[in-house]
Amino acid sequence: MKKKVIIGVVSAAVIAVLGVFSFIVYFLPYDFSQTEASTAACDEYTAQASSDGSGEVILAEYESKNKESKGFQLNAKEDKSSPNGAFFMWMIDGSYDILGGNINNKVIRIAPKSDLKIMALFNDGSNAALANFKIVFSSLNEGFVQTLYLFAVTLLGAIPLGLIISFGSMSRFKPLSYFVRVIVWIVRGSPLMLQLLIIFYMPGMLFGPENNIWGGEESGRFAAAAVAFIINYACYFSEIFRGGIQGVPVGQHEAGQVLGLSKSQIFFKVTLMQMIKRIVPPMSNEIITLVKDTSLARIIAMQELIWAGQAFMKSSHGIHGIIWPLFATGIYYLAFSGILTLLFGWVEKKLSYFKV
Amino acid sequence: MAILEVKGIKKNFGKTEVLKGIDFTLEKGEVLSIIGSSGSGKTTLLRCLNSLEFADWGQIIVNGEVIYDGEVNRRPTEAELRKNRLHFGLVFQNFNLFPQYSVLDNVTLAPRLLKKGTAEEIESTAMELIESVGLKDKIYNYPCELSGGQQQRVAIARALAMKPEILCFDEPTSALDPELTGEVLKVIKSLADKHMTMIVVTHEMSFAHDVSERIIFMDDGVIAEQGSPAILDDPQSERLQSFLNSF
Repeated sequence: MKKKVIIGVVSAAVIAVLGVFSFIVYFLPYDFSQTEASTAACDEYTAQASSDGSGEVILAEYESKNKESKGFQLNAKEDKSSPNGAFFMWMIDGSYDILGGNINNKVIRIAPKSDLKIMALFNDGSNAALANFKIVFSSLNEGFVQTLYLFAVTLLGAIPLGLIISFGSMSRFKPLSYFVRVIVWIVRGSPLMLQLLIIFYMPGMLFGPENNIWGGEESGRFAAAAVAFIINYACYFSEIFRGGIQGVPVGQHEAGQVLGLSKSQIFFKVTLMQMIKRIVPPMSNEIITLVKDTSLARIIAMQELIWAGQAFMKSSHGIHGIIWPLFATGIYYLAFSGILTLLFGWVEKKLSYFKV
Repeated sequence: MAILEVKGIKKNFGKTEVLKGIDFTLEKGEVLSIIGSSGSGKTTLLRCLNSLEFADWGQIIVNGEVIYDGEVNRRPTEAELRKNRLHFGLVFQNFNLFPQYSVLDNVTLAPRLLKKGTAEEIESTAMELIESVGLKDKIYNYPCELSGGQQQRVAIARALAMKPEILCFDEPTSALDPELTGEVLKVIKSLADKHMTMIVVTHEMSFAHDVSERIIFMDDGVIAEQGSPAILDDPQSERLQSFLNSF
């Protein structure tokens, strides 16, 4: 009981911290008034800061007409009210980062034929840290969405597949059950990171890049990660399900039989609930582990939470060399696993009216 | 006509012969006690009657109808099994109540699933049964909240709810301490007084003596001695003598 209270308090604290962050990021009065500039048709593009003072955004779209890499120049009129304004800038396609600082005479190099969308965020410096916050958290949120997505897809795929594998490993047809057990041993006995690397890189390495089923896109990385996670977690789940199914005493089945119940009635009305009660604690363990294991998808450069946070250590969205976004990613994981802990605690409590 | 005839039941587990040819008959309303040391095949016999095991040879005849014939070289179908099992009720040594259901739901589950009447009929029958085993105040409790003796009484009510023709008890008090044994035996005794046809596998000699019309002593897979309860006072075979002396 005491343990549950501590878990509850810590989770609440973590959620509260995250809430405060969100509040700072989204609700503090900070004016990102936006101005749209025209699309430049030539290599020189002049971005104009409008004259209404600080807190301005210059949003520009630029399409390269030249086949060769060209210099690209940004000029901005100086605004008297914010002469040394901090300047953050990022490109939507993520291919370039631009140094922050004064907007004047920034030169960007772009690849031939590439389409470029430029978003510049100009402010007067006094709210620079806050703008940083906004940028970092919107980037982390994007990563977290990918993390959540991988988590959900893994659960949706691994639970049914795990059931199938558990039936396979319990099969009375010995060759099948041995085969399944060997597969489970291989998958559980080798690192998930290794499985991710093999599943993602092997098709392209063996059959050539043109036959790489995953492609080079983020969606391909996600698909490869999802396949690896589903297989890996299905094997872990299968052992939990097997334990749950075999853990129900044979007497329960027989009691149903002598009362004249059919096989499906015995399964759904007698044993299923007892299995569920048995598998909830080990499943909650695995699922909370899965929350954190999604970060392993970083190894194939899937753009999940850790990837998003780590990018700021080098350079991302015009922000360079900061470590704190990594700590912020930790808060996401803590909050998420805290919520799951509370959820599973609730489920266990709901099932505590009977003992198995 | 006997309600139950058992003819030449033999059963092997691998190379171990557990039942080596069991014959007996049971009249309607009769209480038969089966005694004998552990491993003598008593439980296996009950399990064969309830179609939880299948005899290798022999016949089981209920009301003149052959429900199982070891000579017929096929397993009964699932539907036949379910029909056959309904002739019998079985109370297990370790109760086997469904832990996720309340006392009332344990008793009503099978009649409800097998549509043995309207919901109201099933519930009122169940209430009567639960009251008859003395647990009226526990109907909404769960098995984990009951003592062993109470659980076994619920198990008896649950078996009775399917209105079996023959109720079998597989050492119903072996998992209970002496204090709780009495309350279960009292319930079985009251059923005997109502002329319920019963087969009781038990180690409670004085209970077997008091409650049963007939006693079978099994030893090493055969019926070594059978007769009225008087055989307990005056055993004829040496094996029964030595078995009784061990108490």
